[in-house]
Order: sequence, then structure tokens, then C-alpha cells
Amino acid sequence: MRTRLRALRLNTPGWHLLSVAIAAVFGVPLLFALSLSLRQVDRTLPTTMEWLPNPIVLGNYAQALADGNLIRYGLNSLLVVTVALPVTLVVASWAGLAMARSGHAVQRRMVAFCVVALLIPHSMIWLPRFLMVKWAGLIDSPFALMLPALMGTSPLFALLFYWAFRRQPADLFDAAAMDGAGALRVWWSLALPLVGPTAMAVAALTFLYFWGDYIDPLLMIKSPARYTLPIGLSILQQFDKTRWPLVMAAAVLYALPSIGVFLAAQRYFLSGRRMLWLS
Amino acid sequence: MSGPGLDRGGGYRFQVDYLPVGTFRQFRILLFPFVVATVLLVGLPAALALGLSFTDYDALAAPSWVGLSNYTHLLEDRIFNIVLGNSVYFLALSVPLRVLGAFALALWLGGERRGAGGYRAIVYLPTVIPDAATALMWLWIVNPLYGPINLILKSLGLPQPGWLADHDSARLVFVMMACLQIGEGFVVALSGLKGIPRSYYQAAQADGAGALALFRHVTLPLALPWIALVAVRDTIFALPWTFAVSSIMTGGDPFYTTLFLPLYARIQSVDYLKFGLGAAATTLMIILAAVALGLIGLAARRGWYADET
Amino acid sequence: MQRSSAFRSGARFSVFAAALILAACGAAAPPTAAPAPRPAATAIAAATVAPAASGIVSWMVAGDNVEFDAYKRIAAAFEAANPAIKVDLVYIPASADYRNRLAADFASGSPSDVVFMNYQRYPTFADKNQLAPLGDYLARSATLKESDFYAAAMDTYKWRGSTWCLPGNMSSAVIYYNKKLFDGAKVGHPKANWTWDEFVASARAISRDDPSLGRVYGYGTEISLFRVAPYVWSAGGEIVDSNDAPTKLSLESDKAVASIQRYVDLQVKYQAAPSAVAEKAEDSLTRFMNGKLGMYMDSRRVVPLFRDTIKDSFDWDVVALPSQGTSTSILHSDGYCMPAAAKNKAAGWKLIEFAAGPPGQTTMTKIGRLVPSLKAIAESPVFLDPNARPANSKVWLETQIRPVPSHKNWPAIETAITKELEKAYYGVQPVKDAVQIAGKQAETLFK
Repeated sequence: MRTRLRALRLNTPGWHLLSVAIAAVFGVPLLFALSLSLRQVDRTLPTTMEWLPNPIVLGNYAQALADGNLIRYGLNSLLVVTVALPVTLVVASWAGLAMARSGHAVQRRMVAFCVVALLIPHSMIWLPRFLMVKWAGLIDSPFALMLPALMGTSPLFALLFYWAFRRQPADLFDAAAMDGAGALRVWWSLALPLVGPTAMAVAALTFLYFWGDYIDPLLMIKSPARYTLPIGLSILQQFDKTRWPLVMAAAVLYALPSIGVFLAAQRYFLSGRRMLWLS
Repeated sequence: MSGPGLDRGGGYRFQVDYLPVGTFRQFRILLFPFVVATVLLVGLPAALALGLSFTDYDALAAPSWVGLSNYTHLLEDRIFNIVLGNSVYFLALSVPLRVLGAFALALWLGGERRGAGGYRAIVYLPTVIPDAATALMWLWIVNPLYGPINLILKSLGLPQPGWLADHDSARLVFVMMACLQIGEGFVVALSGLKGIPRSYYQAAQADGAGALALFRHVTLPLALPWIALVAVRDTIFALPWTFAVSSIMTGGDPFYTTLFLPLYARIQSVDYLKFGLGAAATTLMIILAAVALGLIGLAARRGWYADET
Repeated sequence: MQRSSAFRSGARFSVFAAALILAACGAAAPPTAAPAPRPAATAIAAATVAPAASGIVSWMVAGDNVEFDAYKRIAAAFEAANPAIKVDLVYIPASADYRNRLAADFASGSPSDVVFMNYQRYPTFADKNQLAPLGDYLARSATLKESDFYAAAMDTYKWRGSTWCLPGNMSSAVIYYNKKLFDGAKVGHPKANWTWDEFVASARAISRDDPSLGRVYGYGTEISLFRVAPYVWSAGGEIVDSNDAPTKLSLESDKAVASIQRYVDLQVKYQAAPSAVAEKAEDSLTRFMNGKLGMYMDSRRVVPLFRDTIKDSFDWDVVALPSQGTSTSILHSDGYCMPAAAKNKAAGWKLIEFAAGPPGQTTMTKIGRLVPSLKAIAESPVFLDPNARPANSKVWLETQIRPVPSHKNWPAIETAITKELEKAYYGVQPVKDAVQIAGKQAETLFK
């Protein structure tokens, strides 16, 4: 690594300079939103660039929570995540463990199965899923939103657990099984504690998926009382498109939990040494 | 986000071969929920989309078989051809840019310098922001009169595009947004590059290779499987990603320039109750992604061969 | 012990799996959709079998908070008058969402018992036997009769020999104008029978760069067939070959093209209306409320919003559309309809009778939202309140109004035309091309 960087012949200040520019490109959109969310709501919008509003007000956040009914929608979103997250972890880690403890042929076939399933993401096939949910009578039920959790949300998660379990010494499992521990017992008290980082990463990615899901609630939830946050947000925007600072405050509030989860879990999938994809 | 090609390409990584196999079949039952649910939630809907695309179905009465007429109708329809063009444009522009961006950034930020972790986190950050929030933020950012981008351009005395109001630049906004949400590809690129053994570089340097030659003969060929992997991932997710952002930001305006296949399928099916047409559009989207994947496969193979000769 | 816990957990999963398999079976064999019963028969059965309505009735409404409050008051009054019925109000704030939801609800087989939709939209659902005809209910009603409504509103809900909805209002497009901007530009206020040329002259006179407001435009509105059509009619042109059984567009006639060209000139030639960029940055509705737009075209629906947001920052009023020949406007009307799949039809009708009848229309008129379709209320001080803006409300009762045609694919046709007109309006393609392409596009949709 170091060799390569030396090959690029760049000193540290130069490297930081460009890195800051890169960070600016990626970070600035969020800062723009943040800045506007602190602006007083009135009839005028800025016609010259203002990096920080004058005066800075925090009232938009309270106003957005109230006008947008965001607490209600937030609780609905939270309900979906609260159910979907553990189900995902259970299904994906079960599948990963079972794969890791299977014969070569089964392992190979299962990896292929996961890869094929990965080629068709949920968001691509919402239309037939909408019809299936309708036929199952689950339209307008929060269960419709949790369905992907039944398959571990993404075949990738099963694969991640599979890779993690495969790295563990086999004799450990075999010894436990020989002692007469059932599969569930082995999974819960032996296997799962060994793959903490993977579980954390999958949990974070699962949170991001369900918290951010826009298509399913849009199509499958009918009652405003059951709307989740993204729907509430788009309603607020259609209604209050003249009150941009308010809309930005709502968008920031909606994004905050995702950002928080990412920051808390980032070391599991961004840290230089122990990359999720290698684990 | 990961595939079988990964084993083959980065084989050095998986030198630990399959571990001794557990002889205890009781683990097999743990596989059951995952397999059944995946078949029902992925396999069945995919088959259903294909099946429905040959029918006339309004979700009210039973579907009736119409053969290929949904497809011929779509391919003759002027608007659908615009939509198809938009989708190809978006794929062709966003996927290479995203892959390039992910790897360039991984090369730049992959080292263990002080502060690198922070930069990496910021690069990943836009990826975790939910689509609906991203869409609203960008709706403001590219507002042609009051948005910060145009206000900055104005203060610099530069011309200010109409962005979403303009036929030419509207699609570009979506490409720009897509290019800032490259966290997943970035992580794959980071780990892919990190996996290249240092000894390869040292050996090449000993042979007197310069920076460019190192990149050309060591980094690029060894990163190729990972590049292909990211390209595959991006190709699959690119079009479905447009659904939320284009619904919220433009609804396909101006003049269908930001109408992509997923939103088109929704308008036909849910708004006009033509589920057969929507299913045909969905199927065509899957075919389009498959064709793009084929092209990537071809390019990657050529790359491998070129490397070997 | 472990075995049994594994078993139990397995059992729990087989419940999940069973649910999924059920879903899958449904998928494999789509319900052979109960053959839609002959509409008239259902209606009569419902009307006669259940004379005493009771139970819960669901009612889906759209609109801002002011409207929602009004709907809540109507629901409460209805419950007070019918103690056996409870109203479940389903509120979808944004109208675009509401339209999508409506279609999705029908598709998912669970629409509310009473829904509200505009007259361009109901034929799509009536065509698929998704609405219960209301004619027989109305004939039996003790409180409402057909002649209570304006014929112009009532007739638009009659299609293929049945009455499908009851008109909840009968609005039409008018010009809202900002008196302050007119006075500032020293332009006389518009008069009832003003001409297109006078209108253009006013719009141009008002357009200017203001040091504090920025660019001020004379006129603006969203661009759509709905906004252009009345001028085409006014100039003697037509939109379609036959309003009752349309088979093709007739926008390619010289009169229609000339009329559309005049409209487009406002933006392209005179820059008296916001450009595409300006409209995207801040739409005309917002501009008008912010005092930066001289004239704005819309129906009555924006009145509560204007009262609420403009308050006293400037004086405003309404005037009839300028004439390009004979003064004509376009009908805006929403009807109360009952889906064929409604679970509680008896109570649903009771609610429609109440909401479309004097109690409901009075409440909605009071908040300024609508032009009543009931003659008695329209011609009363409830609507013509001289103390509430706009002062000139009577313009809605004096204008000659035409509807767009009834056709099952009309919403799609309208969208197709609108997109082409938009391109012409922003100078991207000539009007001639726009109407020609729109005509082609519509051809397949009329089939």
C-alpha cells in the first residue's frame, strides 16, 4: 500500500488537500440541507449564496415534527425495523451456519443460489410483489413491509454469515454437536458469539434498508396512520413546497438515525484492517 | 454485492480451502426458512412478472392471455422508446462513472495515513442517507434560482444550468446523485486493492517499473475481478434506484426526460391499471440489465485475456 | 430439550412459511375476480334490502388542513344525524398521492366506501365496473333530487346511461389577479368581458424586474391541456371530434393552433410568463401568493389557501377568463362516488347524500373551497359572501362552462397532450408539431 502511494509521489499536505476536496464533494450536499433547515421560514429565498442563514433558528425542526406528523410516521418506521431486524439476523445467520456446515456440493449450490437471487433486487420486482401482497390480503399491513426479512432481507447477508462461519474452526462445532447440542443451541450459544462484527454489519445494513425503504410503503400502505417516514416526508414536501427550510429540517431528521447507525457501525465495514468483505 | 467470480479472480484470498464438513445434518433445517422465503419472495415474483407480461391484466378481472402484444406495443410506443433511451443513457453514464469513482477514491484514500478513515467515512456517508431524504435535499440543491449550486455558479460569474427544468440537464442530475452514492462499490474497491500482495509491487519495482507501469501491470489486472464485481452490482441496482428519486423529484418531467423504466412501469400499472404493460416493462428492465451484465462479462474476459498474453 | 426447542422454532417458521405459501397460491391462481354483478341490480338490492343504514362507512378525502377540518366537521354532523353510523375518515393530504392511492386501492380490491374523484377520472373505473351507479339511489332519495343540481355539473357524471357520482362542486377556471401589481403598473383592473389582447397587454405591462421582489411576471399557471382548452373553445376550436364519443383529437385545426399559439406567445414571445427555469424554481401558485405574479389561472380550489397565506399583504380578486371570441371556461368538478366493492353501500349512500347535499356543500362553501353544484347554495350568501375575498365570486355563476369529454383513457390522453403543449410553451417545439404528435399519441389511447 505504502509502496503504491509513494509511487504516486505525493506529500502529505498535497494528499490532504485533495482529500478535503473529495470530502467536500461528498459532504456538502448534506451541509447545504442542514444550513437551509436553520433558516427562518418566510416569503423570500436566498438569491445570493449564504453558507449560514442569518439568523439561525431551530424552530423548523419542532415545526416539521408537528406539521409533518413525523413522530407518528417515525414510530411506524421503527416498528418495521424492530421486527425486521431480528428476523433478518436469525434467518441470515441460520442460513450462513447451515451452509458453512454443509458438504462441498451443497455449499457450491447454495452460493450459486444466493448469487442468482442477488441479481434480482426487491426494488426491481415490486410490481409482482404488490400483486402477491394484495392476493395474500396484506395490503395496508406493516407485515407487508417486513416481508423481505423472512428471507434475511438480502441473500448477501446469508453469504456474509456463511463466510464468517466458514472461518471458524470446524472442530468447535463438531465437538459441540457431538456433545449432543442441537443445531439451535450451537447456533445461539456457540456460533453467533463468534461472528459479532459480521452480525453488527448485517444489522446496520438491515436497518438502512428498512428505514430507507420508499417503494413498499408507497405502494402497500394505505392508511395514513400506518405511513412510514419516507411517505410522510414526501407528503410534507408536496404540501409545504413553499417552506423549504421546513422540508429540509424534516429530511435531516429522517436521515439522522441512518447516519447515526452508520457512524456507530462503520468500523465493522469501513475500518482499514478488518474489512467486512474480507471477513 | 458479491459473486462467484470473486473466488476465481481473487483466489489467493481463499487459499484456506473448505473446512472439514460437519457430519450433522441437523444444521440443514436452519437453511429451510431462507431458501423457501427466497424462492417465494424473489423467484416467484420474477416468474410472475414474466408471466403477467404476456397478459392483459387490470388487477380487477382475471388476466387474459395476449401473447407478445404488450411487448410489441411498448416497442412501437414513442414514449416508451424515450423511456428506454433514458434508461440506457443512465446505465451507460452512471455505471462506468460510479465504478471509476469507487476505484479512484479507493486508490486515493486506501492508505493508512492519518485521517484517511475520516475521509472514507465521508465518502460513504451519502450512501446511507435514505433515498427520500436524498431526493428532497437535491431538489433544493439544484433549484435553478435559489439552490446553492446555481448561487455558487452565479457568484463565480459562470452560466447556471436549469437542471431539472431543462431538457438537457435534467437526466444529468440523477447521474450526479448516483455518482455520490458509491459507498458499497467503494468498500469493495478498498478491500480488493488491499488484497493485492505487497510483494507484487516490490517485485515489479525491482524490475524498474514506474508508477504508471505499476498501475498498468499490477494494480489494474489484479483489481479487474473486483471492478467487474462492482460493475455488476451497479448495473443491477442502477435502474431500480431511480424509482424513488425520480418519483419524488420530477415524476418524469420535463417532457419524459427523467422518466426511467421503474417509474414508467408504476404509472402504467398502478395509475392506469395496465399491469400487463407494467410487467412487460419490468421484464424488459431485467433484460436490459442482463444485456449490460453480458457486456461487462465480455469486457472483463477480454481484460483477463489481454493480461495473460 | 434442544430438539424440542428447535422443533418449536421450526414450527414458528412453518407458520411464516405457510403464510408465504398462501400468498404464493394466490399468486399461482389469481382470483377469478367475482364476475362483476350487473351494476343496476346491485344498486337496487342495496337500496331496498338495507333501508336502515348502520355500521362503519369509510370515506377517503384529500386536501390541506383547512379542508380536512371541514371534512371532519361534515363527518361529525353526519354521525350526529345518523347515530347508527360511524365515519372512518381516510385522509390523504396531497392530491397527487390521492389520485395514485385511488387507483391502487381499486387495484388492491379495497377502496373506501365513499371516494371523491374528478369528472375526468371516473370513466376509467366505471368502464371496469368498479363503481356502483347512483341513479336509483338518487331517485329514491328523500332529501335530494336531480334538479337540485346544476345540469352542467350533473350531466358530466352521466355516462353510458348511468349516473356514477354526485357532483360535490361545480367550479371553473378563472383569472386571479393581484390588484397591487396592477395599480403599481398603472394598468386598469380587468373587466368581465375583456379580450385576449387586453389580457396580453396587462400581462406585459406588469412584467418587469423589481429591485426588491426580483422578476415579476404578468401571468402564470401550470401548463396543461386543462389550462389551454378554454381558450381553444373560446376561439371556436375543439379539442376532440365529439365530446360524447371522442375518437380523435381536433387540435390540429387552424383555429385551435392559432389559439394555442397566442397562449404560447405569452411565454415565448413576450416573456410575460415564467420560463421553465423560473417555474421550476418557484411555481406560479407560490409566486402569486408571494406577490410576484400579476395574474394566475386556476379554479376555486385555491381560495382557502389564498385567504390563509396572502391575508392582507395585497388585495386580490377574480375575473372571467379573457375571450378569444366567445367567453368560455372549463368545468372543474369532483364527484362523490361509491365503489362497487364498497362494504357498506347503504351507509355509503347516506354519506354521499349528506356530503353532496346541502349540509356538506354548505360547510365546504364556507371555507371558500368550492363553487356549489347545488343551485340553492350557490345563489345564497353562503357562497356570494360580500365580505370574504374574492369579492367577485359571482363570476363562477355567470361564465359559460364546458367539460372535457368522458373517456375511459382520458387521464392518459390529457397527460400525453399536456407534455407536448409544455414543450411548445417553453419554446422547445413549434405548436404545430406539438398538436400533431399529441394527436398521434392519443390515437392509440382512444381505442
